[in-house]
Amino acid sequence: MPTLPEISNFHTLRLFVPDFSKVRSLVLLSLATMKVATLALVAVLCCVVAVSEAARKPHFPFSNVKVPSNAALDHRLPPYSTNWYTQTLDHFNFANTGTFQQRYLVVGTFPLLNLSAPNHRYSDFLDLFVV
Amino acid sequence: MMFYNNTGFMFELAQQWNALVIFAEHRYYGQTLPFGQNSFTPANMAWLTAEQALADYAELLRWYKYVAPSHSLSPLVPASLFIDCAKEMYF
Repeated sequence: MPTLPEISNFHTLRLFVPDFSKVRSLVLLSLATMKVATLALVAVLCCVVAVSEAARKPHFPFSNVKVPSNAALDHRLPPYSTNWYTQTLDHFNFANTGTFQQRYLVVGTFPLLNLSAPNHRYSDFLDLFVV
Repeated sequence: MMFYNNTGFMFELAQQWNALVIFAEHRYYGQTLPFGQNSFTPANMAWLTAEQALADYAELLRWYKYVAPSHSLSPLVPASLFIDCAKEMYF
């Protein structure tokens, strides 16, 4: 009967320990073989990148999040008609018969009867909101 | 109007429900000024109350159903933002 190879705790732990010695030696080797001019160039590049990152505007951690502007949304909005209604000034006083002009917009570009669309008019969901 | 530009979802709902969208401007806001340029004197602001503004909507919608009989049987779905959210609780 074949037996499984024994796995010691030492080897199991070693799997999760990153080996920095190779990286360190690689960096040291590259630094040693690089010319002084190359090192200076790398240093200057690092400084330039750091300064440009610091001077980025707006300096906000989430500045890469793009918020759609209203101008971008406008072309999706349907046209509306502006209307004026002679509104009662005081609804709770019959002696005051004053009125004023109230502006209201009507968006009516949708078809009056669309048979292909489901009719939710009398669904239970809408009944909660019916005035 | 700012409110009109920021309610894109309402038009999607209106398309789904085959609905008509009516924006009534709040009294004393925008161009709905009962006394024109003199609307904001203390005496003229007496009619700037939540109850009066809510009654505006009620009267406008009843009038609209009267002049547009094709919508007279339609249910109403009040929707608004910001301060009006509190008013919808009256509905």
